[in-house]
Amino acid sequence: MKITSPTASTLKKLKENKAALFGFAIVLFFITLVIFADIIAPYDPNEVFRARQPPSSKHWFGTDTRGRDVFSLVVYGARTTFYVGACCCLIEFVISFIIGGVSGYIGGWLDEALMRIADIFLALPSFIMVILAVSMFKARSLSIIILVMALIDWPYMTRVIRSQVLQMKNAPFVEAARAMGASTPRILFRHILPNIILPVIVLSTIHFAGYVLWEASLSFLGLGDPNSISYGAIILSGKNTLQTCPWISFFPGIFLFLLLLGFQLFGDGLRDIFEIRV
Amino acid sequence: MKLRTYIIRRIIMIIPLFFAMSALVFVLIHLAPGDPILTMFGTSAPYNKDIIEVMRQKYGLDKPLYEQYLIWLNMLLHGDLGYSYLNSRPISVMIGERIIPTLELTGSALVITVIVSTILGVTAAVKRNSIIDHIVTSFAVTGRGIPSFWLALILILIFSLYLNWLPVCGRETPGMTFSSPFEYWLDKIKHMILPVICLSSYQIAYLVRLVRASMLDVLNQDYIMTARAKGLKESIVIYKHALRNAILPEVTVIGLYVGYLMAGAAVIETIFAWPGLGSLLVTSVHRREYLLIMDISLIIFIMVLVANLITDIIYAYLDPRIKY
Repeated sequence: MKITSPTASTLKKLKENKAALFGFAIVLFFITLVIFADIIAPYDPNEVFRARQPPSSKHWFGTDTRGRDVFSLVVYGARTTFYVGACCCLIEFVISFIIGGVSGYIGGWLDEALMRIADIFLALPSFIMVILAVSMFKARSLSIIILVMALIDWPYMTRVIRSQVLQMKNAPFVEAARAMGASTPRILFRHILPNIILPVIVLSTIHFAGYVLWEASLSFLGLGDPNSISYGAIILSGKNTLQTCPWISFFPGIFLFLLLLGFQLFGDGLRDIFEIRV
Repeated sequence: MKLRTYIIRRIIMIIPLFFAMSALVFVLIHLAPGDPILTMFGTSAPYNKDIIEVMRQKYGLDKPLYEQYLIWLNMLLHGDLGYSYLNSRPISVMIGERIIPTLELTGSALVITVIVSTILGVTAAVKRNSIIDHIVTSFAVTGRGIPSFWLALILILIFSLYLNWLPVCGRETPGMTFSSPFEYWLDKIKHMILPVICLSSYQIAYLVRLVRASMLDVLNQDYIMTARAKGLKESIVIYKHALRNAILPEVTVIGLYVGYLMAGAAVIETIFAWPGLGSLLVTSVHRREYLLIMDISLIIFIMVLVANLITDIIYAYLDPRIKY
């Protein structure tokens, strides 16, 4: 019998999962856009040309109502989406790891209290909460929006981490660490964290798409950061000239669609490959 | 435990949740900077000093925060939602007008989602690996990526602006007189088609996969083989024996879906100028009318909680195995 290493068998599974591969290709495409935006975009996103030009060889996706090149906006917009998605996922992970770890490892009344709070958050429609929380701020910067979204969406990942910690806290290797006198934070960070990173990555890939969609929806409602280049805001800016200049809303939407699709397919694929229930 | 006891217990469990939610909303809004009176009623409203003083008294703004919360809660429980100075109307009246359109929209989206996803999912599972199955599955995969607000614009562009088949926005044609009730309903339905499609597309795509998977699972079970072996018609096997068990996972997810629907309604209602709670919420955020924001979000939260309760009861009814 041929023995394959875990990495090799994972790669093989990934190759067989067409949907996941397709998703991965889209994600790679967007990563290229994000890294090489300065080279790929033909113009500076704030450079102004004649407004409302239809797509042409000079302006692939036309120009918007303010005369900005839509293709360049879309390319730079990818940076905003990645910034939002990555920051949100990171903050969500930090919050979830602290709350989920403490809750699962220490348990008792603290666990009970934290999980009841999580239940309240889970029972409420998150996007309405985001609107509610964002409404408090006079100036809505991207950082505030990111923070608000991550603070509202934490309970889901917290629960996953908590259940993982619960499963692991009496495992022999954790017991061994405890017997050697390791402190609780050390056990959580050095021994448990490396073992739960896989479900976290899988869940983050799926949540990434969710955060991007939230940010775009907020911007589309006019509740986003007016100074950032957001797909939602570009789509909104084309709303009133939909009949005469449909390209302003159309192309950013296609890119947003591809991005969401890519992350969802890739996330679903990873979940199936690693057989993780999230 | 009997079903009735379970229902009563679930209703009682809503009470602490309501208090937690109202406290959350209250605290969030009171974190907002500025004079609470001005933030609550919107800075651009026409006031004089007397009104402000009356409001300060009424909402107990000279008292500690927890007392303010109790005063507000007491008013809420007595049905006094406050007054909107920007609109010069009581908030309860404004919300009352908006609830029905929102329920109309979200309710239709819910019904359409359940029917369409069940039919598509079951068909795909029964005709596994056929062309229909491939079409349905690829829709299920792509449908989840389409942002609803973008889909709305594209559909408006095609069906309203180019083809001129459906109205661009609104709930009914203003100023139109109808010769028959049929025409009136036709007009209403025409206005609903696009918003309902946009609101339900994501969830249909999601549920189709779920129904298909659980149907395939059920069709492989022994009791289905028994049903077929005793010579029942295939349609009876599928729609009477298999379907009931296959849609159980769908029912649980629908409870969560209601929350998503209310959130989606905020976006879709704004695009289609649908006079519902969601669009009112977005406008009040733009105008910074915090009292209105507080009331609307609380009403939406309560609606979601009640909807969750209803789905749990339906679930308990559909699946006698469930232990409450």
